[in-house]
Amino acid sequence: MHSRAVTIVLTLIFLLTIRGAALGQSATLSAVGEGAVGNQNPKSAPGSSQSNDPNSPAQTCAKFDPKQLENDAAIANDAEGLAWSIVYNYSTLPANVTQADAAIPSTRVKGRLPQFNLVVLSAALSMKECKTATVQTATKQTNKQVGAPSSSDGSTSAVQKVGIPQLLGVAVENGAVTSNVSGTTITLSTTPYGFIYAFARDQDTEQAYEDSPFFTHLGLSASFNVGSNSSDPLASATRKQVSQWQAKYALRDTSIRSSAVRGFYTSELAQAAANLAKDLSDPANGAADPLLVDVSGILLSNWNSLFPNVKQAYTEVANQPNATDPGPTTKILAMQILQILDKDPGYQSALSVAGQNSLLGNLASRYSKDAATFATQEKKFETSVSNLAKGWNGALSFNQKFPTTTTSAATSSASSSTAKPPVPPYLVGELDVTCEPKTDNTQKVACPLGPKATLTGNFSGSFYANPNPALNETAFRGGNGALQAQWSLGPGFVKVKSANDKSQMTLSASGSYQRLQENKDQKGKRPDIVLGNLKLEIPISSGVSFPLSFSVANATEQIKETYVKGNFGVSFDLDKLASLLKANQ
Amino acid sequence: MTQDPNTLVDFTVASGEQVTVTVQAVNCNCMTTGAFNGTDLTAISNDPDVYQFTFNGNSGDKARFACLCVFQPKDPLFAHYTFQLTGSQGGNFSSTDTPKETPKASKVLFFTIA
Repeated sequence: MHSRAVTIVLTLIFLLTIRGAALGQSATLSAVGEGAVGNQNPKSAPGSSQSNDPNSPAQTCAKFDPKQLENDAAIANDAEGLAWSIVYNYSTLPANVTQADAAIPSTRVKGRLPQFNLVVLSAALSMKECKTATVQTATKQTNKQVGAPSSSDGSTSAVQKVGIPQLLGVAVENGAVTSNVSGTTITLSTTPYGFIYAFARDQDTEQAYEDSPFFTHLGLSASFNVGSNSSDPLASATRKQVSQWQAKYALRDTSIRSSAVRGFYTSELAQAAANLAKDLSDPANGAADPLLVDVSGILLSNWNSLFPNVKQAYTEVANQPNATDPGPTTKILAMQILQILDKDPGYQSALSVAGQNSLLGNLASRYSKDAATFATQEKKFETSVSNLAKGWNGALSFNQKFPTTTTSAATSSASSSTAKPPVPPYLVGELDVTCEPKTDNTQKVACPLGPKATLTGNFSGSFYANPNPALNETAFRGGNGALQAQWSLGPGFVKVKSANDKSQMTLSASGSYQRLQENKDQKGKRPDIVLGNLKLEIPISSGVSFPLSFSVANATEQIKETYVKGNFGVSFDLDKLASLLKANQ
Repeated sequence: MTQDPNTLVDFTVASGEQVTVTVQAVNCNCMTTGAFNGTDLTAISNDPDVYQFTFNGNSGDKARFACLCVFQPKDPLFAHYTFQLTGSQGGNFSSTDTPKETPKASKVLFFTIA
């Protein structure tokens, strides 16, 4: 009773703290937003047309100044691609190259320059497009199981989801729903395909992916008990600390590497891409050759000043195979290149001459329109890809759980705690089904809870490998069924997220029934356990959310006692964090 | 066909020589489109995407092959496309990789008739 009271009091204090923090943070950001935010981003300097909010109305493009290339959003964006090409080419050089040899990347980006030149010319001819970043689908995804599986100590989930994180999913959660042991767990998860090809990077092709359906559909995870005072939870991810491991096979591939993505590309993006390729190979582009030669030469002659940033940019991303975006120095490098071009009289002169060529002008105009069409089609493509993860899906999972031995914890002194008999490990086989409504009209069989709610169901049986008859255990431990309905409640009320973070606040209601065979005819225990759970997950920052959970049950596995419990935790989703980094560029 | 060893994107071909460009995606789905001299090319096979064209003309004539490579935001940073070129009159070359940019990255190869 004492620990329950403490839990409830702590939860109430925590709720009040969150509310206070949310209100305070919101007020602070509002004040800043009205003032200096516009000057925080170098791309948002006076005259810039870029906005990070994709829903903001189109803004008027400022007049192009060829000596202020970096102030044009489209040029700055494209220069980042050029800068990354330089850094990438540097990364392909053998180790221990001399600085002179390292200048090779400056000549090996020539194939990337026609696009850069057309972007600059489009802007120079005032035909550039005011467009915004569009990459925001990943953060909306709510169907991945990032936290510990529902039966694990420390989980705040009563029902486990079907999706498999493609990146290393890390979740640290504090609390427990289906057990009366409140522990802290950390969960690491991956796919075998991702693991294998992390060590054979150049062999990870579309064909290899399609040839490995088993390894791409399979997700592996392990949950580890970590001490509540641990300042470095990952350090606790050792074999001895394993509280559960799980192998999960998704019935349908919903990843971005799915073969379905190619179908979306063919139907929605290929034609727009073909038009851009035609523009880039157009003979009229030959009139921009002086610009081409100039940029190559300028990069080479300024290599000594560019090299430190090239090296630093590579250092930022080296040994990060799962990173999806270049580090900040790549942006600095892009700005540096543009500032060099600003001051180069040869480039400025060639730009002026090229701008007067009518054939090239027409081509730049066409390229600008084709790029706008591509951007529009790319949004449709992204919508289709994001819907790939929705609709009906299912997963089969197999896991082994190592229950934590409980203590009576009447006091904080370890010496006065009384050890209970250890609960042996057991195996669980599970079928999960889910249906998240798609946002387009491509869903053939509608979800049973309508267009707004996601339904998830878990059905499992558990078994003892070595049952202990003295504890009334048999090989069949029991069965479990759980259903969850989840609603998206919008972006949430905590205003510390970035503008590109489309994470949703979610409310879920779930119920489960568990039959625990060993509790039959045992004094003080119930064989039939019913649990209800209400969970509110609040996104609080980029890729970080607070799950708040309230549970009511007629008993726990160990004690025939009705309880009401509140739990909270912190979840980190590295997939979302990676996507947000890109969107913030 | 010969290749400029410095840029790796400049090639010299004989008039009427058929060029085969093989584009392979690494760490990402293979989604490309190709064009030669302002005209669409249809890949003769996919994954890797293979494009073929013939450059006819006089000595000193120039033309470009452009390839648009599509990436997705969640593709890893070091996802890239590789380019392998073969001339019907001899020569087999690798060009520079095209690394990830979201949503698209372009590569232009430059051809001159010898």
